[in-house]
Amino acid sequence: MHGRLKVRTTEEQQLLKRKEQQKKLIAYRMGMKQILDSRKPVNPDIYTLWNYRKEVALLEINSNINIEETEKLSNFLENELKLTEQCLLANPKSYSSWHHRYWILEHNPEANWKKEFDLCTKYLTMDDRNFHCWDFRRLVLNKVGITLGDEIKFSTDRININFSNYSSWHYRSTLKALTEECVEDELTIVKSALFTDPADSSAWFYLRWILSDPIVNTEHKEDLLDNLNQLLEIEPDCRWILIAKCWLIQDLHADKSNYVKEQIDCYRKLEEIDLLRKGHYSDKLNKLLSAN
Amino acid sequence: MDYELPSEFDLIVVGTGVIESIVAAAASRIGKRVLHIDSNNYYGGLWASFNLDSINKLVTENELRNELDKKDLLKENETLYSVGNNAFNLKIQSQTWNLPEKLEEQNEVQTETVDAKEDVDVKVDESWTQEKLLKLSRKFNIDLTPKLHFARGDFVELLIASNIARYSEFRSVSRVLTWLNGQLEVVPCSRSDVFSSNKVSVIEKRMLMKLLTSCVDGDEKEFAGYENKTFQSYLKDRKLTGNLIHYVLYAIAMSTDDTMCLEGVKNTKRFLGSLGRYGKTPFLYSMYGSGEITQAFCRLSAVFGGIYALNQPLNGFIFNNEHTFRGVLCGQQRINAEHLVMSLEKVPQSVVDFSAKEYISRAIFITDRSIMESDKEHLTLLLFPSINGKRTCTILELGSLTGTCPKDLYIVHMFTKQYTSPEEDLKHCVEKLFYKQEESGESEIILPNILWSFYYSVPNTFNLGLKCEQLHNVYMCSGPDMDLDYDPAIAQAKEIFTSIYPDFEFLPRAPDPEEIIIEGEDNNNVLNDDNNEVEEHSDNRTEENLQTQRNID
Amino acid sequence: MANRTPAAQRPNGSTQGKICQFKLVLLGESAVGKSSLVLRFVKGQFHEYQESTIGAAFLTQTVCLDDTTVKFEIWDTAGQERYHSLAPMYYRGAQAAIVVYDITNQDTFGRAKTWVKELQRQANPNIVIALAGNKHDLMNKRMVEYEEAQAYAEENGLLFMETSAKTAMNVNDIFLAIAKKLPKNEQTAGPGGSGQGRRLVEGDTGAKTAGNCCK
Repeated sequence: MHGRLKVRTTEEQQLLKRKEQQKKLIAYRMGMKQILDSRKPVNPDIYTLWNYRKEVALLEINSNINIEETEKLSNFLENELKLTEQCLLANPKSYSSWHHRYWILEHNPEANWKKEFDLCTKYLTMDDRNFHCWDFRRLVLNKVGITLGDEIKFSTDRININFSNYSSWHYRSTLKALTEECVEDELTIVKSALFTDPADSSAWFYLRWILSDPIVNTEHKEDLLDNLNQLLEIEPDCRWILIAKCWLIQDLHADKSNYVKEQIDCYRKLEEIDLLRKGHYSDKLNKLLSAN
Repeated sequence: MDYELPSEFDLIVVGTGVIESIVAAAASRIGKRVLHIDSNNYYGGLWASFNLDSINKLVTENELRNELDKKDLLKENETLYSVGNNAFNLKIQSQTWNLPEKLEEQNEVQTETVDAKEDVDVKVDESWTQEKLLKLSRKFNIDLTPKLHFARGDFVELLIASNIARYSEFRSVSRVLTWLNGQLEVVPCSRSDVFSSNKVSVIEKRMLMKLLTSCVDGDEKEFAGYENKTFQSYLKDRKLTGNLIHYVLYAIAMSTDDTMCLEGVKNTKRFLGSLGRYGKTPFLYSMYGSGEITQAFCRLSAVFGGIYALNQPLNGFIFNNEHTFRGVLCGQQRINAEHLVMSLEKVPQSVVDFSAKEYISRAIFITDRSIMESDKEHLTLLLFPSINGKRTCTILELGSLTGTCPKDLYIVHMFTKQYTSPEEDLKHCVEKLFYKQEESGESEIILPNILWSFYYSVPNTFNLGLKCEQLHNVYMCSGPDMDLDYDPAIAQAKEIFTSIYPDFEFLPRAPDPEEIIIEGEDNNNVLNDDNNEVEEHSDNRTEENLQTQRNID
Repeated sequence: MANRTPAAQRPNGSTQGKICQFKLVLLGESAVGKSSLVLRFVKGQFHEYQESTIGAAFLTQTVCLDDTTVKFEIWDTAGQERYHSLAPMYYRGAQAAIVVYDITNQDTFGRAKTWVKELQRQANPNIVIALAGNKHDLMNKRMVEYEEAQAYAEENGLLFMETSAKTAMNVNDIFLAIAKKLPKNEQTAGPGGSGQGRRLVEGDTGAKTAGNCCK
């Protein structure tokens, strides 16, 4: 009888799988041949090959530089970009591919930086933890005149979606120096992250970066210390709060004995809750005790 | 009828509501011969979605059919029961247009006067008319029973596990709102919402996160002593601020002041457990309306051999002397089956010894702007808390991206437990959310205009304990319930299926296309074929040939 | 074969072209050969006494155009058309439709016209519709003239071919013609349906970036 439903048995599926594998093998061999034919690196991280390509590219650029007809050169460069696209598809974190892409763009007098920038935005919207792309964006940003405000907003948007992200915080820190006007805002956003999830380390690193800036005045720091004490009441066992508190006390009141005691308490607590770094805390403690 | 249906089945399902359709799909899936019929000419019964034209013409009374003189189709010792009753019908309270029927010619020039202060009454965008909306009728998919789906709820898991998910598309609910201090507020429900919300202080952020974490992770110890206390008292003891209690109690836990602690915790878990799978909130909505869902199950049933016939003149149920089900009379035709599953509205009047004790007050509105405007279109769930003795009310706002209404319009669904009547029960929400002619527009926020409204009640038959003691091999399905999702419906469908077919799996995964072989396909060739191919290809076959190979999926 | 693509047309080195997925629905009276057309197209088979195929009303097949792979998600009616009970869901998000009639049966051509009207009312306005006059192998019993159907197709902007699932005539061609006519930019050809809604799939337990409340 025809037309009855049958579902493949495991053996049949395995047969099919083998068939698929054979097909893939053939496709792979054909692909390899093509790759070798056109001197394309099958592994995007063989930098010798990339360097070789750069040399070829330079030849191409130099031989075409004075010719009025630029179409040939731009086609060539366009193909190089496409190649890096494919390589990045295969390995989105390939240093060599990202580098090659930027190098090619830089050598193209007609490079479309705006398009490149938009691509970055699209990419980061899909995967905002690829620090290569964040770095690349920073380089591209220098080429297109996007306003700083827009970039800050982009970074805020990414952080709003997920603040457990070293890259977007770091990117933010590279955008501009802190000013009197913006330091408040930055402290607010970082505090929001710290309070929402004090166990998440990324915002603590950003806080440390902010605190390292002399523009943050004593008043800001006192405020922050108050906030940390409030937070500590709710989360007494969070090592990041204790550590940050020590940073601040050291900075603000290094010589006041009652604060020394607070610091000592913090480190004692840290020794208790963070066994992995016990030695480090003991060391800090000893220094404090011997100095006073 | 210009055709005859087959006359022998294992199971006849009458009515195409959600529960009936799930049972039909499950039975077909295990190879049972299923006939699924409905006297309506549309799928879904009380769970259906309609275009604007047909919802305006909705007939609510069951057409009670008299027992026909069909004795010749009955065997000795058989009795015919009539179909249907009027105990479980939808009741329409009102259906109102707030629009002119047609655009009068002189008005056409007036469309610019919207801004003019003195023309308070011309606030309605003059360009909408009944005629214009009805022309777009087919762009509407108006649910009688709108549902949302928890991203990790029973319904979504069942759809995925049974492979029915491939028939439907969904949209994520993009925001959850509440009514707080006299205005609408976005409820921070995920970690990133809590982080970015500027309505809660940093300390509140921590308190809220900590509470939510303990509701999800907390063991019995966490809630010890609260067994007989309310969820609200637990939240208060946790020193949450008023705003936070509001967010958690009325929105995240969808509870009231009287909800018991453990139930509140359970609700909170249900909400939080579905976060982070699809979109920013825990909820999905079925594109083109909730009515699609019954159709998806019916399709699966049909794919596995279920026979579908809508618009059927069902003339009676046939039982033998022992009150065991024998078959149905469909038009002039007798169709036999072992089991009967039917929706409550189809139960013979003579055996209905229960009636709905509880009703659900519902309303549907077509509006010209969102209840809370934003730079993009939202799909909104508003959990309206109980205030001043009014009951909580669930409100859903759908835009054109859901495929349920034309661009620039919104559909708003509202429902609550019935207390007096739909209009009365929902009045307090309607007054707060929509523009009213009587009050001159002093408010700075421009409220949406109601262009069309539809108030109705449906019986809440869920807790009736539907067991038909006097008839055998007959199973009854409840109508729509108050749950936001389909959890109770799925549970009932599964229960019915298991009582009929105790030894079978409920909706096992349907095979994917690549797993299906049509008999006659020569499997043994698969491997041989392969070997040939490998040889040929190692002979430097060109890429061209490779690409002409068929990609059998 | 229809989906042959000369290697020379490929841009150097780009073996991976675009992949577009489309939902295609079949419509037409019972027994005009809808399932047979699909089976011929997807599996290369034909059975003279094909019963309605249980469980297999959802098949996929890909065709290769120049730089694009077009994946068809093919929906068969699963018999729901037999008693006039096809669910509206069937049309949702369909980007292409083949309306099939039997060239030896005038009634089925009349019904085909009704299905076209139904599609024009119910389906996505940009849907690509092809009209297939099937059973060309039974030419000697022809009741619907080629010219008549062609004129109707032209009037309504439909692709038109006479096909035979039995001899495979024009079967690949009609799918290929549809593939060519479908828009292949990203907005319209996202995976799974034109409604641009979300498809739920197994194993999809949540995006890694999603801010789950409690982690």
